[in-house]
Amino acid sequence: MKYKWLLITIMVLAAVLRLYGLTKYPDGLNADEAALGYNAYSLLLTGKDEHGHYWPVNLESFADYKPALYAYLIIPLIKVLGLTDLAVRLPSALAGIVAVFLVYLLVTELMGTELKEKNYGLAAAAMLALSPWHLKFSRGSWETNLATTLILAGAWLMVKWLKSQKGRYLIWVATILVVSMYTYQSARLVAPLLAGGWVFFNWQRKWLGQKQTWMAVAVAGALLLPLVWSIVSTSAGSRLVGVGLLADVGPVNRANELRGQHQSLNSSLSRMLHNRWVLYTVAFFKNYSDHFGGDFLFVNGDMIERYKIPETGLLYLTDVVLVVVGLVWFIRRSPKYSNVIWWWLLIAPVASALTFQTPNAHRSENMVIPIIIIGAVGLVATINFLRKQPLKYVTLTILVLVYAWQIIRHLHQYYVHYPQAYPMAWDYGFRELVDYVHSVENNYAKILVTDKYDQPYILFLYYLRYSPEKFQDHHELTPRDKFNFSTVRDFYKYHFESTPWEKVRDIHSSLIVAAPEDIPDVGVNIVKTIYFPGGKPAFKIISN
Amino acid sequence: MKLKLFLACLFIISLFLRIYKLADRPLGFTWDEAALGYNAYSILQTGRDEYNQILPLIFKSFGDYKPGLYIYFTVPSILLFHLTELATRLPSAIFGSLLVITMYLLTRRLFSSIPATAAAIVMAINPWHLYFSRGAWEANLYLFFTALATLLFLKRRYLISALFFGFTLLTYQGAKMFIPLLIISLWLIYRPQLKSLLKPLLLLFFLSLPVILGLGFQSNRLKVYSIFSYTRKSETITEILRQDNISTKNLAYYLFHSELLDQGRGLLQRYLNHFSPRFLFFAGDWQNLRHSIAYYGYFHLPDMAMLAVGLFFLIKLSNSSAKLLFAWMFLAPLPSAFSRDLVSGVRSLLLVIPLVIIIGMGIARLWQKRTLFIIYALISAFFFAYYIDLFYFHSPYFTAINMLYPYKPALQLVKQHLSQYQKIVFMDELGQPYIFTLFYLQFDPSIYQKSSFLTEDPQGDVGHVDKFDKFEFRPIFWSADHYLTSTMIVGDQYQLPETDLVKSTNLIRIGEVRYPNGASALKVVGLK
Repeated sequence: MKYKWLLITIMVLAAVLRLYGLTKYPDGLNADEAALGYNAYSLLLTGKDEHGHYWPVNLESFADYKPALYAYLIIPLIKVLGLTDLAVRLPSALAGIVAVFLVYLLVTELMGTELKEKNYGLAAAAMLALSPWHLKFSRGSWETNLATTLILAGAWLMVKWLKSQKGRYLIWVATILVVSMYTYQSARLVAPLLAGGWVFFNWQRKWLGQKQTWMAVAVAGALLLPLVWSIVSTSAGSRLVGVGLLADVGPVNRANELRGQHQSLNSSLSRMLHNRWVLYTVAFFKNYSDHFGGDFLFVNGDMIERYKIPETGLLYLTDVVLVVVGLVWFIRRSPKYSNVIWWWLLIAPVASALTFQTPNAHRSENMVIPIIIIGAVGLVATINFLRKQPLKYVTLTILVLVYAWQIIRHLHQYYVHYPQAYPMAWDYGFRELVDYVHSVENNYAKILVTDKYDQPYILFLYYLRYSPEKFQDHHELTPRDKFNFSTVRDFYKYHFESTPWEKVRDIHSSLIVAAPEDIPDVGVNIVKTIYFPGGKPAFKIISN
Repeated sequence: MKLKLFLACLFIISLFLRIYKLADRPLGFTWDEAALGYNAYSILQTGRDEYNQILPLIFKSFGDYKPGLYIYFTVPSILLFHLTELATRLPSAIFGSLLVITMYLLTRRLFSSIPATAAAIVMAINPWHLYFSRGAWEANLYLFFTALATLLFLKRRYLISALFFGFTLLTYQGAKMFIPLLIISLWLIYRPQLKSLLKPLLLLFFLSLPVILGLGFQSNRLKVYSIFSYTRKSETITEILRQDNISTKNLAYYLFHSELLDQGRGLLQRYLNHFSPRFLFFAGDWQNLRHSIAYYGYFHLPDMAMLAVGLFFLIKLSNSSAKLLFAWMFLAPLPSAFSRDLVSGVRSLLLVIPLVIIIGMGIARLWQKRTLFIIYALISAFFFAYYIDLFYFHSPYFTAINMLYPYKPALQLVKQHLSQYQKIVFMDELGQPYIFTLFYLQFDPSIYQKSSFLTEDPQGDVGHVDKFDKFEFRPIFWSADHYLTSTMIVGDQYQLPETDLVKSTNLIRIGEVRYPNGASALKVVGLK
C-alpha cells in the first residue's frame, strides 16, 4: 500500500512540474511550436497542411519535413481548446507524465516485483519526474519527448515479451516502435537499431518458427509503408543532408590542409592517412562520445540556448556519483535482460552523432531514460549501503538535503533565470507584436517585418489564426538557405525580410517592424517598442 | 630468458620511439626546459644554481621554485652531450622507456602476465606518454618514480619504496597532493603492519622536509594556480541580482548563486573533463598545445573499446588490485581539477597508468577471441601510423608557436653577430627570453650568478629578468629605440614594423626567423 501512495505522489509531482504555468514557461512560443500548431489547425480545418499537402506523413514546414504525428495529436486538442499555446504544448507534457509511469513499469519489470524490489522502480520514477533534462523537454512542443515516451513504452513491452513470450506483447513492441518513427527524426534511426539489438542480444532460435514473430514483422512492415513511401516520394530525406555530419566541410578541409603539409601532395601514404573517410569516421565517434562527457551531462548541459537552462546540467551535479554507483551495481549484479538498458544507453546518441552540432541534448533526449535508470539503481544501492552504516540518520538526512537543494535550485534557475537569460531563444514578443500589428493594419498598405528572429511568417499565421485556405495556395516557399531551411517571405500585406533602415526608409504608407539595432535613435517615427523580459528591446515598430 | 629478451626488445623500441629526433620533435623548446637545462649546466660547471645557491633541492628559477631532482638527473646528460636540447630532454626519454618495463612488472604483480604484456606495449606507443617523454617534463620523471614506488610497495620493499615516493616530492609540484592520497589508499587497501612502516615513514618524512619547509614561500604560486583564487566578474553578479530582482545578496542568492557553488561547479567540470572522451581520445589537452599535438587525443581511438571492456571486467573482479586502480584513477585528476585551467594534460599525467593497465586488461580479454583481436590490432596499427605522421610531419605547423620555436634560430643569429654590438635588446613578448639567451649562448654561469636578479611578480606568478651583461629584455618602442647605437634588436613584426624599418638609415638587417608555415616570427636587426 505504501508503494502505491508513493507512486501516486510521484505521479502528482510529475504532473505538477510538467503542467504548472505551461504556457508561460518557457516564455514565448518558438517557430517550430507555432509550425506544429498551425499545421494542425490547417489540417483540422482543411485536411491539408499549410503548404496544401493532404494528410502528410511529414510536414514540409520550413522544408525541414517535420514528422507529423505530433501535429496530429494536437488536432483534437485544438478542437477543444482552440489554437492556443496550451493545446500545442500539451502532448509533450502529457507524454512526459506518462513516461514517469512507464519508467516505473519498466524498472519494476526488470528488477522484479517483490516489495523490496519495487524501490528501484519508484526511485527511477522519482528521478525522472525531477530530472532537469526530462522536465526541459516535457515543457514545450517537443516531438523528441513524445518519441522518448514511445520508445520507453517499447522497451517496457519488450521486457514483458522477453519474460512472458506472449505474442501480443511482441506485436505491441513492433507497433509502438514504428509509431515512434512517425514522431521524431532521431527515432527513425534509434528505434530500429534498438529493436534489432534487443532481439539480437536475447536471440532464441525457436523464434524463427513462431507465428508471433512473423505477425510482428508483418505489422511493422505494414505500418512502415506510408513512411517509406513519403521518404521516397518527397524530399523528406533532405533534412539529414542539411544537418548531417557530411554537411560539415570541416573534415574535408582538414584532410586537404594535412595533405598540403606533405612533400608530395598526393602520395599514396598521404592519401591513405588523410582522407575524408578517416576524418568523418573519427568525427562520428567524437560526436557520439561527446554525449557521454561529464561537463555536458552533469555541469553545463547543451550549448544551445533553447536546449539549456543557465548554469545547470542535464542531470544534477551529485548524480555523477549515483550513475557511477549504478553502473558498478549493474555490472556486478547484471540482472536478467539488463542488456535492454545497456544497449539503449549505447544507441541513444547515435542519431545525434550523425549531425554536426554535438553534444546535443535535444536529438539525444531518449538517452535520459537509460541514464536515469542507472542513476536510480545507484540511488537505491547508495541508500541501502548507508542504512547499514553507523550514523545512518545523519548521512541520509544529508543526502535528502543535498537533493532538495539541487531540485529547488534547478526550479529557481528554470522559472526565474531562464526566461531572462535567453529571451531570444523562444521567439518572445511575437504575441504582443502580432496583436498590435493586427489592430492597426488597416491604416497601412504594406507591413514589413524583420526576419531576424527565426521564421516570423509562421508566428504571424499562428497568432493571427490566419485562414489556412487563404494561405495554402497564396504563398511561395523560398529556395533552401545554407542551413537547408526555407521560409515564406510574403502573405497578405505582410512582407518578411531584414529591415536595415536604408533599405526600408523610402517604402511609404508602411508599418515597419524592425530589429532594434537596424533603426537609428532619432528622426524615426517609432510608434511602439516591444521589450524582452530582461528589459532589452525586441522590436521597434515604425509608422512610415 | 624469453621474458628478458621480450623486455629488452620492448625497452629498445620504447627508447627509439622516445629519442628519435628528440631535439627537433616537438619542434621548439619551452622556457621550463631551458631553465632545467641551464641550471643543470650551472650545477655542472660551478656546483651552484643560477641564483648562486649551492646544490639546492628546490630551484628558484622564474620564481616558481622547481623541485630539483630532474635537474640533477640532467647533469650527467649535459656532461656527455653538452648544453643542448637533446641533453636536457634525454633523462625524460630514458625514464619514460624505463616506465614501460615498470608497467610490465607492476601489471604482472597486480594481475598476470598477459595483461602485463598488453599494458607494456600500450604504454610504449601511447601518445600521452610519448609526448611527455619527449620533453624535459618533470612530471614524466614523477610518473616513473610513482610507478616504481608503487611496485616496490606491492613487493613489500617498503623502505626503498618510501625512498622513491620521497623522490616524487622532490621532482614535481603536483606530487604534494596526489602522493599522500595514493599512500593512504595503498595503506587502506593492503593494510601492511604498521611496525614495518616505521622506518620507511621516517625516511619519507625526512625527504619531504625541504618541500614542507618550502611551502611558506610557495603559497603565492599556489594561489596563482588555484581555482579558488578566481571569482566571477562583478557584471555577472550584477546580472544575476537583476534577474532575481533583488538589490542586495539575500539568502536565496547565497543558496543558489554563491561563489562557492560556482567554484564547486567549476571544480566538478574540471575533474570530469579529464575523463571526457574529447580529452582522452580526440583532442588531448585542448587548452594548451604545449601539452599535446594537434588533432589527436591522448589515447589511440580503438583503445576506447578496450577501456570499456577492461573497466567492465575490472568492476566484476573487484579485488584489491582493482581497488588500487580505481583509487588511482579517481585521485589522479585531483591536482588538475583544483587548478585554474579547464583541463591539463601535464597535471593529470598520473592518470595514464591506471588507464593503460585497464586497457591492457581489455586487450587480455580480447586475446581469447583471435579474430576480434586481429581486427583491433590492425586498426590500432593504422591509428599509430596516423599518429606518427601527425607528430613528425604535421605538428610543427600547428605547435611551433606554442613551443616557442623562434628563440633558437634568433639566438643563433644573435650569437654570430654578438661581438659587433655593445648592447642587445630582446623583446619579452614570447616569455622568459633571458633563460633562452643563457641556454643558447651557453653563457658562463659563474658570471651570470654574480648579477642574476629576478623581478618578482606582485601577483606571485612567474617573475622576469630585465637584463644581464649586455642584454636587455623589454618591449621595444621603435620611436625611442631607433636612436640607439651599436645595438642589436630582436622583435616581432609588431614591435619592429616594416613601415618603420624602411625609414631607418643606420639599420642593418641581420636576419628574420619564420615559423614552419611561413609566418614571420622574429626579426633581428642591428643599429650601427
